[in-house]
Amino acid sequence: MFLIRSGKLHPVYALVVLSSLLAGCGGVASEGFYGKTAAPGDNVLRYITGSEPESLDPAVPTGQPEARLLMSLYDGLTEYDPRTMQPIPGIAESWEVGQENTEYVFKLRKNAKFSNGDPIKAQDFVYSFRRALDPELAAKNAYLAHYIKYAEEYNSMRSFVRDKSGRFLLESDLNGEKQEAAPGTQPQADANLSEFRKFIDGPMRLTVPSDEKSRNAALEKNPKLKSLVEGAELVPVKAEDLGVEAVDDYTFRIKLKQPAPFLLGLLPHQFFRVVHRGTIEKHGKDWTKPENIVTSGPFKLKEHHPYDRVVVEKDPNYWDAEMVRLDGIAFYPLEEQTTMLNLYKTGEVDAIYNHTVPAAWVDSVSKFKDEYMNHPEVAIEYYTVNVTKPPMNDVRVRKAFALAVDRDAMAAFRKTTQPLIDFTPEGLFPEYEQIRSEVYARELKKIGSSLDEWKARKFDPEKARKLLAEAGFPVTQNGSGWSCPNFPVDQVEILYNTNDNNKSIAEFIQAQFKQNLGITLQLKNQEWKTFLNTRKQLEYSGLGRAGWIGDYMDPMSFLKLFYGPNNDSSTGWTKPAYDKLIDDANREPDPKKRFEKMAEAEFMVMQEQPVLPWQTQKTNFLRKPYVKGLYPNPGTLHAWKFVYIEQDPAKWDRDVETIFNVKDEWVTGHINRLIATQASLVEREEGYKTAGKFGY
Amino acid sequence: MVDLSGAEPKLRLDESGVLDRSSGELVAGASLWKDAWKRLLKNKLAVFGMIVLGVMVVAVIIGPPIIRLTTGFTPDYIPSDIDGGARVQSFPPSVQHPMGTDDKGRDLLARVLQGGRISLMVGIISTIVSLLVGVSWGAIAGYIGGRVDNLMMRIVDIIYAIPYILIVIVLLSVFGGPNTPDFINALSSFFGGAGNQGLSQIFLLFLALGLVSWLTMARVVRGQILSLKNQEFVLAAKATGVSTPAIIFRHLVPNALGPVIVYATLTVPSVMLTEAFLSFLGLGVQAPYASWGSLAADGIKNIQIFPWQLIFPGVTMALTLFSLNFLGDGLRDALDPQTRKF
Amino acid sequence: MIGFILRRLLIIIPMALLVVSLTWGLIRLAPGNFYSDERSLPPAIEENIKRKYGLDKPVYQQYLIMLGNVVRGDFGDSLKYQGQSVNEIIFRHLPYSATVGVLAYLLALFFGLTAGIIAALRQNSAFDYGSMATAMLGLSVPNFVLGPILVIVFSLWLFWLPPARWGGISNLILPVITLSAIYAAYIARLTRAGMLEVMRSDYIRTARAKGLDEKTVLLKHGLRGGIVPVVSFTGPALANLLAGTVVVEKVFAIPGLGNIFIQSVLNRDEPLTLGIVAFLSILIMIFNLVVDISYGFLDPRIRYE
Repeated sequence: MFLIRSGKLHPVYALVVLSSLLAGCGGVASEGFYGKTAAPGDNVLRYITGSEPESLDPAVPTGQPEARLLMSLYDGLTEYDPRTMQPIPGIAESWEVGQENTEYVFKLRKNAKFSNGDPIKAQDFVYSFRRALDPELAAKNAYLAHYIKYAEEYNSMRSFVRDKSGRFLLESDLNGEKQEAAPGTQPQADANLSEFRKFIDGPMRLTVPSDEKSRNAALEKNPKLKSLVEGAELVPVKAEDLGVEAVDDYTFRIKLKQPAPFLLGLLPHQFFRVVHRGTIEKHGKDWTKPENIVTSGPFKLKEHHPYDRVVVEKDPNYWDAEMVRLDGIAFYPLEEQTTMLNLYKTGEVDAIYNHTVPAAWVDSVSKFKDEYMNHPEVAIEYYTVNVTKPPMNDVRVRKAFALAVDRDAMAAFRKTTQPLIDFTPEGLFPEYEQIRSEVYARELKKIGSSLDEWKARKFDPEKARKLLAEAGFPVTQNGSGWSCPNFPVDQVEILYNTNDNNKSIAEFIQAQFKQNLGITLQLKNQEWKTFLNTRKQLEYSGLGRAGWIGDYMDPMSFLKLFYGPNNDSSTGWTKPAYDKLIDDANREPDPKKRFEKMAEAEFMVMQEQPVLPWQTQKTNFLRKPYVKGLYPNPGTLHAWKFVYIEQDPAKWDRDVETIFNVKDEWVTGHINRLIATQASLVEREEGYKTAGKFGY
Repeated sequence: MVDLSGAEPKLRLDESGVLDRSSGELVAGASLWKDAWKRLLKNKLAVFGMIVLGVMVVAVIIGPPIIRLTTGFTPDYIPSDIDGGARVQSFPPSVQHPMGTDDKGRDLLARVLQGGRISLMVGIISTIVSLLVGVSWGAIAGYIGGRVDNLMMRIVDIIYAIPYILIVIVLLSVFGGPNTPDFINALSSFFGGAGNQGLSQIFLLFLALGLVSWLTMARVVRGQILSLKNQEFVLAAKATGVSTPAIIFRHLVPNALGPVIVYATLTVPSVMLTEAFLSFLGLGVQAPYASWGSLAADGIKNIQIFPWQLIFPGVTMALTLFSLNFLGDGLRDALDPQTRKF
Repeated sequence: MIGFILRRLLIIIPMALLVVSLTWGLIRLAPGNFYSDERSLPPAIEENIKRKYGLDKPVYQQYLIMLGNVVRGDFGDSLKYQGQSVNEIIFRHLPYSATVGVLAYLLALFFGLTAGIIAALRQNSAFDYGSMATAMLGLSVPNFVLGPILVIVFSLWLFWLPPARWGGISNLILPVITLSAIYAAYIARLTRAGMLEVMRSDYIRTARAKGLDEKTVLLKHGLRGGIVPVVSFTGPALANLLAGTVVVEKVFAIPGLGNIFIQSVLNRDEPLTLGIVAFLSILIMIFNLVVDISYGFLDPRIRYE
């Protein structure tokens, strides 16, 4: 029996070295666990994270595999709560939000250091933000930061316009009406304000593309703009014009161009994590090479063998190094599902990333209750409805279709999803859901309904048939089934992009409509890019498949889909009243009131049913019971400093279905320590306590 | 796996077998073919191969309609409309599903038979493409000779030196799936209705695999033509004013058929294996269509839980490849009289 | 002879350029970009990317720039893996594929030649039938099936060998066996056929008539001629080994060049694809040349023009 775990071999030596055959001993599958289960003695976690990282530069890659890896190497202003992915303090110890959610001032820790020992100061964040938005870097994720004032303008190479009198033109000059108290733009009376502060807090300046060709195109389209710009001087937006500022060494200020209360939840994203200026300027594109790299996170890079492994080790310079329990993490880039399950089964890896158990395996793997993680994710599946064409322009018809599918049966059939009746995923935003219930109850009462009735929308064929009849399509009993002879089946079809899974779901839904409404819709499939186009241009009739993954842990990430007259919902649905609610919510500093506004907005959408929500996705991955602190959070992004290996089998996790109700003293202790500096977070944690969550 | 057939030992045709004939007409060679047929029938393995192939061909042609008529299953029917989708899972073999079902609850027997259609079609059509291109190329080069021959064969040499599988992979991944060129889509709409993505991919496979396998064919044919072109029947045809294309395709090519047939028989299994390899990489046949290769590639993923998903398509494919190879070997022995000596 | 070699060496350069141009054309014909994702990018960001990678230049200029890079042997940086040059990637990952490939081919040669020679010498014996049937089986089972089956037996049931990943010698055993199977089968068949043909040829008859003992006849004369087909097989085999290692690399998670090649094509990582194509084309053309030269030493009847 020879099972070599350690002692990596250079390929060249592999041809020569023939002696290292015996090392260690193959173990036998332990009772009740999936394959060989023994906590590794070296305290190094072996984790499969998906594909090979595109880069170790946090500003560059966009994928989840990199996100997980980079979270170990870099720290940001805020970090994800390992359980909920809500923001908790990172390098920022505390913060204040002002000017109607457009100003964020962060107090930084004084003991934060890079891996080479250099202190991390506000200036480093200024540099990191400016660099990430540099058009020369051409970061794909840059759109995440476009909420920052002049970020989009800088990133897309635009120029300010200065007229002959030397005055910079403002957006209000173009829009005509004098800007009425736009958020945070009231003239500051304080004379001590720096020039920069006056500029950045002042009214939004007008910008035009720096590139002549696109500028001319823009000017041609807008004669007023043309007349304004003609003869004026163009001043390119520079990095220094961005709304980021080091007030002092340990105070970092962000000024937004529009209110974005979810910013704190966005900041743990790798794009916003801090990088070391000296290293980047010295080594250029080679700065991420193992011999050059300087990092800021709980771990530092030890080795990088592309396509084989990235090994990180504990960084003693990390400001919170005391709490880090793992000595290191080996990230394996791997995408073959069978191969990774084999490695897991033979005990060669300790945990795997999400969506990795093939559907066919779920039944046999889910028996391992201490290891199989299947919890809700911040991702939903639904059908869009083209509300511009009859008969789907009748809300009663749309509602009937939404009610006619048995979502519990669907979840049983899908195995890795759970029912969804609203547009924000179930079970992920408990505070929001709490408030939403109240708002819904109030709103429903107004229209003579109740919350219970609302919740029954999971499946209500009776009501669906009634609604159809009201809309002029009576459903009649036909033997054991139903029939709806008046319904124009030739005008409604189910469109999906070609894929086995989409097909079986479409067939399931088709069968449900047939069983419960007596309506047989045609299925139509298209390849991905054609499909996207058809759906976006509203060239489909009836229903279209769709899915949405949240960018950050806030219901807004979902609700914004319906915002604006040319929104991304692919339904043709738009409503000024809805847009106003979203605007109000974004300006609202009080989180409770903000959620109320959002709940009203969601209620408005669901009343009009331009989408038929079906399912919330679930995490679907395996993790050995001795890996603790690695929660099946909504985006499978693990804050690694909370993860540890438990050697004592008595303390291993049991029955992970309930993992969010079991208290891990160590994890909770550290979370409470970290959030103590920020009152709003303490309040949130108190909320969990009252709700009895996380084993409180 | 990949096209290994390029390295088959050089095929020889007993010159006396050709010399007997004074005319290039196929009929005149009847005795040669008759002899070969007799020899082939004596080869038990080759006969076994022929029978298996015969059964296989009949099964894949008539199988799917029979299954549809008796049990109602089609290869792409996902039973999500029964029992609230509870049938959408892999069931072991039963009376209803003799080979069980796949992950999506589709009848595996129906899929194996439909997959057989595609696998055999990929094998045969790609071989025909390679025949058309290779035979014409080799025959023209061989007959015209001189500079033309030199140029044409250098082109073959050049392409031969290219790791062709790289180009096929580029071709299939670049144009596969959603990116199929219009003319291929037009072709598949013609045969299978508009927007038929799966079918487009199959046509692309035909093309790509055919392009890979014509080179050796060209070389084999050229060699044959070189040894034939100075025979009396060719000179006679020339003297009577028969046009060059007619000489090549009516007189020379039929006489070079022996090695061509042998080589073609061996091309089919190698192309089928190449298709399986591409399917494993996700570049081969796309859902809802299946081939034996793609079924085996799917099956191997689930072998620890649903072994039948691999066993049935795998064994069917292996048996067919076995038979084709046996038949190829048998044909070579039968058409190459030298081998009779030992 | 030297003229022949020089001519062949010289032609490699234009051929490599041809292959690269062909591949470049194919990639450019394809829709999609290395930066296109499921989530569509804001136009401004797309512009930034185009500018950064020179995709805003006219196509012919881009082609010439690419060709210039190829001639200089510098393919630039990978588009997907930022900050890594194509040459660096190729030379870093080639050893993995080469290790598996060469070991597998050596193993295949060993088993193939042994089985083929014995089968030829004992024609129609039980060994002959047995080994040829096994070889036929080897030719009929795709290696993406063989590999996982070996893993199930030796890793998941017996817990003897690791199921995947690069590591020690024990990590190499299963991939090498998997990869060698089809080549061993093929070599066995070729050797047997070649030996049978040679053993009845005139020069063997002459050797025997001279009174040489059977062992000398067999090893000195028979084998030399008999393995010519195996040698000529080696050229294309090396080309195909690449494709073979793709499967093995995927199944066993080996960081080899084959898998990186496939990924680069799927990612539309143009410089990386072109670099690997050019590199492997040249490598294989050189191998083919070596194979052709070696004919002369093995079979005196072969002469070069």
